Amino acid sequence: MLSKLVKYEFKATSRTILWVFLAFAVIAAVSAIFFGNLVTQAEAGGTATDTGGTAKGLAAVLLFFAYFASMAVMMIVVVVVVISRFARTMLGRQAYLTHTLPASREQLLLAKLITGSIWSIASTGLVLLSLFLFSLREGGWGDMVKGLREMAAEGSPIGQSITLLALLIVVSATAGTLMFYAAISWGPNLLKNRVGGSILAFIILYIATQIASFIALLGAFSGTAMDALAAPGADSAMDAAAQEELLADPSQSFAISFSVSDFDSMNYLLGMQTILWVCFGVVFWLLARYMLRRKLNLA
Amino acid sequence: MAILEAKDLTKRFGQTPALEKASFALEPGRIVGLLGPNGSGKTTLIKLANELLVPTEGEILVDGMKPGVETKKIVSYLPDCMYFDDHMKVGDCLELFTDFYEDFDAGKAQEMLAQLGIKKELLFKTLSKGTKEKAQLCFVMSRHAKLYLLDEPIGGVDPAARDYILATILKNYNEDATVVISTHLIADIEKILDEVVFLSWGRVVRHQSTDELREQTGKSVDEVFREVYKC
Repeated sequence: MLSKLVKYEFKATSRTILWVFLAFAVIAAVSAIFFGNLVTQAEAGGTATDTGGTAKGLAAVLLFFAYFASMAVMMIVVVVVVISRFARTMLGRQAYLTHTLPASREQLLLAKLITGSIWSIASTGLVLLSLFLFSLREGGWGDMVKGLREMAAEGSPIGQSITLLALLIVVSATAGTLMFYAAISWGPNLLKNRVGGSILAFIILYIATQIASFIALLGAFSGTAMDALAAPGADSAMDAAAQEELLADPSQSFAISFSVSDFDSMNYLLGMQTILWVCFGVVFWLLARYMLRRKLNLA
Repeated sequence: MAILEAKDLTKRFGQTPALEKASFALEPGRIVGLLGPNGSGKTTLIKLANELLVPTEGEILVDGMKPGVETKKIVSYLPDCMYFDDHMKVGDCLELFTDFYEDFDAGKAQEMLAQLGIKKELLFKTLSKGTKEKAQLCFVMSRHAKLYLLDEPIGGVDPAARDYILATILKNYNEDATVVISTHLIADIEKILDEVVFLSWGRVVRHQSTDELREQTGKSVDEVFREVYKC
């Protein structure tokens, strides 16, 4: 049953989202190729402005703007499509069909969560991929990989950092989607106006998560981690020797600016954030589930 | 066992009661009119049976079970609004019903849609309001359900469409099943009803077979309705 529900969720949401993804991918690819060529030409025969004149400069500005605009549009469209789909099919006119399908409320919620989270993660992945494309021609990616390898060889827990970051992206995307679902499910019980109620519910949940995050992180960093950060040698500021080394080989910048203890602190922070978002996700799930099971009001 | 049973069923929206201690039981194989003026609680009752609302007090049972996944497998529900996504094609809806309802007869639905000239390739948003309503009825009546809950199926349609809808219901329902039709247009459906449940201000004021009612009162259901709900 769940797989069928997910199938129909993807079918309905992909109608809009895939086009936006495609548009962003095309703009990102064109921009990456264009900027790559500019850099190549500049390296071969002077500055980028010398080789193409004003027209190329203008095109570069427009492409730069189009890239960021399309990125913003893609992120917004994903959120809007996921939210509106949930509101229409769980509490709107189409809810009469959704809630009379032989599926439990948990299955309905889970199907929407899987779809919403995957679109959200996919949009983040697409943005990262586009940044990777940009860095390919400029050599930034190669420098970064080289720096990371060297740090790993020196014993920095870089692999752990990347894993935790990826995990945090997945967890926060899932919990963030659930936050919207919980707000939409709760909203009609707060105000008669369904949209107004959902916005109010979202604001309440957002403030609650901010307060909870602040308290949790304050508590977490008041102990051993804070001591570690304050320990001699843990300071991330570059000393004179590091600055000299950086001037000699700029590709070392990534490695020099992060010490092993910096990574430990960062991993601790990433781990804490991940645990926090898991907790938020559980609370949002329980709230949405309760509202849909006990307080559903398709009046 | 009753196919639909309400026990002291109460539903309030805030302080406003929509149903107040409603109790009745419907047996299988009957066509039942759920009758009452606007605001009498007909739609609320049907929504409670479909788990679209949660009772404030009391309970409602479908085939002995509280509304849930198992009851949805045996209940075919026609709401008083269009519930298909306008961006779906008619063929997509056929696929959806086939995927989710084991008792759905796709061949029967296709036949009924073809009779109405509705092609599978058409998007719902391109259909007129009346055609959409008829198409939705075709889907609902193509299930071999144990209980059909039809909320105002003939409300807001012209007399010709009314005839089509009633003929479709009569021709296609599973004869072992119970059909509950909520309406205030009594004259049009009186002849097909086996029994009636009269609702007034959320309370069941009369529940009996149409034959009994006519014998007892010497009047038609429509006449009794006008008398009960006289303003």
